[in-house]
Amino acid sequence: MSGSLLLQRWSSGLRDGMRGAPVAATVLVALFVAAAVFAPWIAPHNPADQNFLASLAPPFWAEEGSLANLLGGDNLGRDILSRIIYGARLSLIISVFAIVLAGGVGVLLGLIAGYAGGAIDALIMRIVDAFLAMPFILMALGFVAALGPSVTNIIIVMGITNWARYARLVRGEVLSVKSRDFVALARVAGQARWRIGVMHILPNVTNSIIVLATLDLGRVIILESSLSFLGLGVQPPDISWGLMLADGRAYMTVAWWLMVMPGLAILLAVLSLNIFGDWLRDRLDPRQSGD
Amino acid sequence: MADAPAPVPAPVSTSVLDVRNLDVRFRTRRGPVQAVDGVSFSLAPGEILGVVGESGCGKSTLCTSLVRLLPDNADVTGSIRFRGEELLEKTPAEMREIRGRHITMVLQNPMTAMDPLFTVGNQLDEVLRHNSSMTAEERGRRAMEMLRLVHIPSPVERLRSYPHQMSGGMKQRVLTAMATALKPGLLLADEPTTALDVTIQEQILRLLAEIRATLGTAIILVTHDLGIVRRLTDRVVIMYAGRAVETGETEAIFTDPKHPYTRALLASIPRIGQTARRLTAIEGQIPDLANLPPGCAFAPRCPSAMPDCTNAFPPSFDTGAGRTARCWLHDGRAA
Amino acid sequence: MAFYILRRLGQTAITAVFVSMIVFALARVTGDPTILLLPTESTQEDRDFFRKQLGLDLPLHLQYLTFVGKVLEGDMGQSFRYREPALRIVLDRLPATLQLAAVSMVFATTIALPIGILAAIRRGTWIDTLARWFATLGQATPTFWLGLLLILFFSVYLGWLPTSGRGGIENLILPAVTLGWFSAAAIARLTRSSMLEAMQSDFVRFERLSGLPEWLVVLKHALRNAAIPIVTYMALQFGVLLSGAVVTETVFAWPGVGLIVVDAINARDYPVVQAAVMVTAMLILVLNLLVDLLYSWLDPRIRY
Repeated sequence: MSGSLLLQRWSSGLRDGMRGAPVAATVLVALFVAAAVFAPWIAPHNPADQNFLASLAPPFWAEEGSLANLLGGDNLGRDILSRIIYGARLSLIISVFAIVLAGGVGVLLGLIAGYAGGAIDALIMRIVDAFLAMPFILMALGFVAALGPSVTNIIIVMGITNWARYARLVRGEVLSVKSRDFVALARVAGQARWRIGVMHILPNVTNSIIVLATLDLGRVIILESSLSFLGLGVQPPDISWGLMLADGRAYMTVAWWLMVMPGLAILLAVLSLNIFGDWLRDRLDPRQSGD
Repeated sequence: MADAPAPVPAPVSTSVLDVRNLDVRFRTRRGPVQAVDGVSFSLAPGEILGVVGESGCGKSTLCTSLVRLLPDNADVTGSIRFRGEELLEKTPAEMREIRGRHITMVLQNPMTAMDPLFTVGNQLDEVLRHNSSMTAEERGRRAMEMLRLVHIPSPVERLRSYPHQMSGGMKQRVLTAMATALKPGLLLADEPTTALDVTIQEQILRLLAEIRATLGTAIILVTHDLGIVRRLTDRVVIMYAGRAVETGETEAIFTDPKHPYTRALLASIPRIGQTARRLTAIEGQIPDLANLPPGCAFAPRCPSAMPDCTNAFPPSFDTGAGRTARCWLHDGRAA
Repeated sequence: MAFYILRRLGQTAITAVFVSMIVFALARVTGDPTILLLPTESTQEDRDFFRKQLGLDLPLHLQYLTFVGKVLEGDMGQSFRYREPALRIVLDRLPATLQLAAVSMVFATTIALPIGILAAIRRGTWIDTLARWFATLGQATPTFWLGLLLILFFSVYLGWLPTSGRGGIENLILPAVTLGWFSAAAIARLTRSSMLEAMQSDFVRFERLSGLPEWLVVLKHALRNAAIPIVTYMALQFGVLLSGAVVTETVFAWPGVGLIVVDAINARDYPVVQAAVMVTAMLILVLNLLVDLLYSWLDPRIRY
């Protein structure tokens, strides 16, 4: 099949798949990802460049603002817009890896629990309950404090605090799929248990996992920015929106944009991810509602 | 071919229910869907009318339209006269008065028809309280009376129990009691036995017959089970793709069906002693109501289809003795 | 029913054991406390001796058992900073956090319930759209940002309310709104969907068919059925509020458990951190148990 035909097929498939998608949200999500990936090419300034003249410069629409610093400058004269764009990088990296970690562990344990049943199921579910009962911010704080705040550690901690939801979800799904007829038929036909697991159960479960993961992205981003805000997340010179907010807090009364802009970035990123995730859920797995 | 007005039997003024040219059209995103098309029939007091058809033929919509509880995207035209009064002209408040008191309904699934959080007695009393002016004492007595009428053992305990503590059959009997407690003129039974075991089905059907006998309530029994129809109903309406393709007395229709669809339906019932190797099924599939072909909807599957059948849908033709059929075969003017 | 309660109690107990293991892991991961406790000139011998004193040379499971034993006695170590039992320090601060969480809850439900119910009853109207936007926006707003914005607006610009600290009612308003905002959004969303589902159930249809007045159908039957998941969710949200209070307390300098934890972390006062995590987790466990019992009381299908 020729390359152009393949491309055609793929793009019309994508178009069909994206039918009815919330336009603004999808665009924002794409922008978020683009900012994270292409930051060095998109950002107007080097985010670490300090410029005394631009110190506490207001955004471009204000009296003393200029187009050089569209969203203003912080106390060291660094361009806020560039820092926000670069901040998207770490937010994306941390949240994606955290979810992959949490999802990986959670899905695996959930599959085991659901499929094995009995005592193993009960045991795993009690552990899940324990993790779900833990106050996640406190637990995250505790572990980060213990392990030290590096990006890797933050990812690990986010994984630790989040896997339980995946486990519970997947276990529930496995239980309901397990009792359905086609699985019984497969058993009768003599298929090995693990094959049934992979070929029949997993595909059914995948949709709900995707939905949960998408909705979780926003949650993890907020969690990470909270940690950074408290000084226990991303450390300077790395850039995180939460960290920017913490820095901006001191200048809140004289230069509100230092604090408001990063927060707005978080809000828009999470909002668009949530709206996108809601649409995805309506399409893939309508049963999961009312979180 | 289809320019003569449909010769429909003249409205009987003593009838409980008179439906003329009832149309129900839904406005959906995929376009208009005609769920009920030009249906007409009457029901005399104490009569049991069967409405038969396969799933999706519009029989449930027909029932719901009679009490005017269709969703907002439904447009209803035609005439529904209940005891001489035109229901389509009633205000919502007036309809609410009629519902539960003069026209009641029993639904298909007894398991979910009652609120699981309140006792059965509480819900039965509610229906009585909001549909009549009986005192609490009178309501209590009537409740017990009705429970006995539907053969519920130890009614006092039953009134105090919750719905999930009763079996499906018992629930359906209680629901029937609720629907007949105020001696309505018309009871709509929408597949009341479909969700029940065969033995329980028996009980419910016998119960319906008893209700007709003792209370004189007219009953419209919607079902897809021809066996039930033959046993219980006096007259029958056969529905296909939203149209009433044949109406008439049950026995007459069963012995001498006039419409090809009716004939095919009857032929597909397996009979004891039948020696044929394969069961006869009707070939083809039920048409999609959103995409009906022009002409007779049954034509694609009809063994007696004629070339003209695909041109226009036949009007209702009088086939004698109070029977009608919508089939070009019975067009008196055809050769 | 009694059997159900017993079963849930048993499950909670087992889960509590696992919670204690997690906290223990947290404690061990913290690193070798001898390095922190002893002066830098101490020799390896001193450290070994000290470790033996603290029982750190024992195998892990024995350490865990001693840990549990101590916890059951109420001993969660001494705060390095304050030289007082860590547990007592945490418990002293608990009322402040509980108060904040409670008021936030009141705020959240007062807003969320009417919005959710009205949105379900008047589906498709402006109030429905408003409710859905409120729910979506509310769950995407970072708490600390909201808090700072509120301070900026109401304290700095308008000067109506104080910026921080605990005191009278005026001190409670901004923190409660900040903390409760997310919960309000979540509860509103659930209320709406729960009511919608209830209103589409078969029995609602049957009640309308039976001629019952609409207000009765909605307020007595639909609402009562919708209430069960809503109430249980609300109770669970309280647990979320307890743990999420950290950030709000930091922004508003509210002297609760969260604030002390952050202070403790910065001062490397790990016993306090562990005590706080333990106390909060156990509280949440008990809360979950109560929620389950509440659920079974509300729903006769589980009761009988």
